[in-house]
Amino acid sequence: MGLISGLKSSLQQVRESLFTEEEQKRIGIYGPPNAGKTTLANRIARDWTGDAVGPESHVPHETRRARRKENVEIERNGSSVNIDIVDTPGVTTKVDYEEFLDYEEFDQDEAVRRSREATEGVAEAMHWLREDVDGVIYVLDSTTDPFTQVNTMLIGIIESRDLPVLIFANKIDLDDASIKRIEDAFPQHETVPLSALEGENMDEVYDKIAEYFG
Amino acid sequence: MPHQCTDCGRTFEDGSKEMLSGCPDCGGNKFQFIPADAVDESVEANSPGDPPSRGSSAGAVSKAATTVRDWVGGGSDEPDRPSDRDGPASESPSGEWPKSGTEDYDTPAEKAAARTSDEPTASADASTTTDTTADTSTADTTADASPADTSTADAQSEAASTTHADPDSDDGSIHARTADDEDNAQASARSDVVSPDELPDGTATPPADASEAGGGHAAESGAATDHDAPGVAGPSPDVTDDRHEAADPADTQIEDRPDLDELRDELNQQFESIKILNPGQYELNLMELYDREEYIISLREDGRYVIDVPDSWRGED
Repeated sequence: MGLISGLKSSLQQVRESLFTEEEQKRIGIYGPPNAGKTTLANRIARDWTGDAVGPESHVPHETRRARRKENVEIERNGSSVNIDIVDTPGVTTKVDYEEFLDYEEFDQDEAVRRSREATEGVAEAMHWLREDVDGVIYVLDSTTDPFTQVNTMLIGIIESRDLPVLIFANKIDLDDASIKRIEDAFPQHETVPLSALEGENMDEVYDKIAEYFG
Repeated sequence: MPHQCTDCGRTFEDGSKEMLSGCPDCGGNKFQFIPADAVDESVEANSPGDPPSRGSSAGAVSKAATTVRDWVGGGSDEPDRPSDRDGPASESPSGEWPKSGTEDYDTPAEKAAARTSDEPTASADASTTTDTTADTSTADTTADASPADTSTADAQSEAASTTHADPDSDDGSIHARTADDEDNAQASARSDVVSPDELPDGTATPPADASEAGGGHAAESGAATDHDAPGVAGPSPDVTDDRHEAADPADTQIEDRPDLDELRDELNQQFESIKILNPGQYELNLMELYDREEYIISLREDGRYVIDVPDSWRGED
C-alpha cells in the first residue's frame, strides 16, 4: 500500500513541481510475465538516468509490484521527451505456485507467497492501466505465440481507452524469435523489434517512444 | 419384409446394408424384423397402409391396426428425441396385434383400442378380456419401466411377452431384440462376403407386411394366439400411455434444471475478479480487475481480499 500511495503522492508532487510546457506522460510497460518488461525498463532508465528500475530475473513474476521511474528524459533529434516509466507485473489469467517450484531457489511456502504477490501484482497492473497511464508499451517475447487470451484482452482494453500503444517484439537476439508472427498478430499497431537485454535496435525504440509519447 | 423401419414403415430386404446407417427415408434407427417362418403364412405382401383383401373380420383387424399405428406413428412425430425413441418401440407391438390374436378376440379389443385410443382403459380392457394375470403383470411392469425411456425396458417387455406366448407363432410376431435379432445383424454383416443362400434361413424371407402377417396368423388355432394376445396387445396401450408421458416436455425440463444452476454458478464465478482455487493458485478475471473501482491490494487465503477504494489514498512513506 505504501508504495502505491507513495508513488501516487510523488506523482502529485512531480505534477505540481513541473513547470514545463509539456505534460509529463506516464508510460506503462505492459505484457505477459517473462516478456522482458523489467529488462526494458532498466535499459531505458539506465540509458537516460543512470539508475535501474528494479531487479531482473529469469523467474516469471519477478516484478510483483509496479515500479516507476520518473522523469526519464529522452532526447531525440534535438528535442527532448520527458516520461515516467511504469514497469508493471506481468499480466496473466492464472497464477500457480507450482510453476515457482520448478526453480530450485523456492520452497513451497516461498512459492505460495510469490504466487500470491504475483496475483496482487496483476490486480495492481490492471488498476494502473485504468487509472494512471497515458500510453502503453506492450512487450512481447517474440519467441512465443502472441495469440493468447491475455494479449488479446489487454490490447483490447488499451484500444478501448484510445491509449497510444507500441508493440515491442523483444528477445530478437534469440534464434527462434519471430517478429513477423507478432506483426501479424497485431497488424493495427506498430511493432518494434528489439533485444532489451542486448540493447539491439534501441535507437529505433527511442525514436518510436518520442514519436508516440512525446 | 424381414426388416421394417418402425418410424416410417419402409421395408428392407434381408441382408440390406442400407439400414446400417439408419433409414434412408426418415433417418430412423429402429427396425423390426419378421423371420421367414412367420411371414410364410401371410397371404399378401402389401405396404403397411394398404387395406387387406381378406375377410371382413380380418379386414377389421388390420384396419384397426392401421388406425392404431397411424395414431401411434402420428404421435411419435410430436415428441422430441428421447420419446421418439420410445415411439417406435411402442408402435411395433401394435403392428403385431392382429397377427397374434384370433378374430374373435382381437377384433373387439382392438376396436376398443382404436376407438378409445386416447384412454388408458384400452389396455385394461385388453388384459381383462384375456384373463391372463401373468401377462397383465408383464404389461404393468412394462408400463413402470418404460417411462425411463430405456430401450432395455422395451426389450424386456417384448422378451417377456415372448416367454408367455407360443414360441412358434411368436417367433413370427416378435421382432427387434430377441436373440434372432443378433443373428440377423451378423447375417447382415456377413452378407457382404457370402451369398444370400448361405445366410441363416430365418433371415432369408420374402417381404411381407406385419399386419398382413397377422391376418395370416389369425387363421391359426386360438389357443396359442389367445395367450399371445394379452402379452402383445397388452403392452401397446400401456406403452402408448408411456409415450404420452415421455412426450411431456417436463421430462427434458427436469434434466435441464441442474444445468441452469451450474450455468448460473459459472456466471457468478466469472464475475469474481480473483478466484482462489487453492493457496497459491489463482484465476484472474482481467476484465473485472480492470473494471472495478476498488483496488485489491492483498489477498488472504481464506478468500478475503484487502481492498483499497478510491479517495482513500493515504500518504505514508
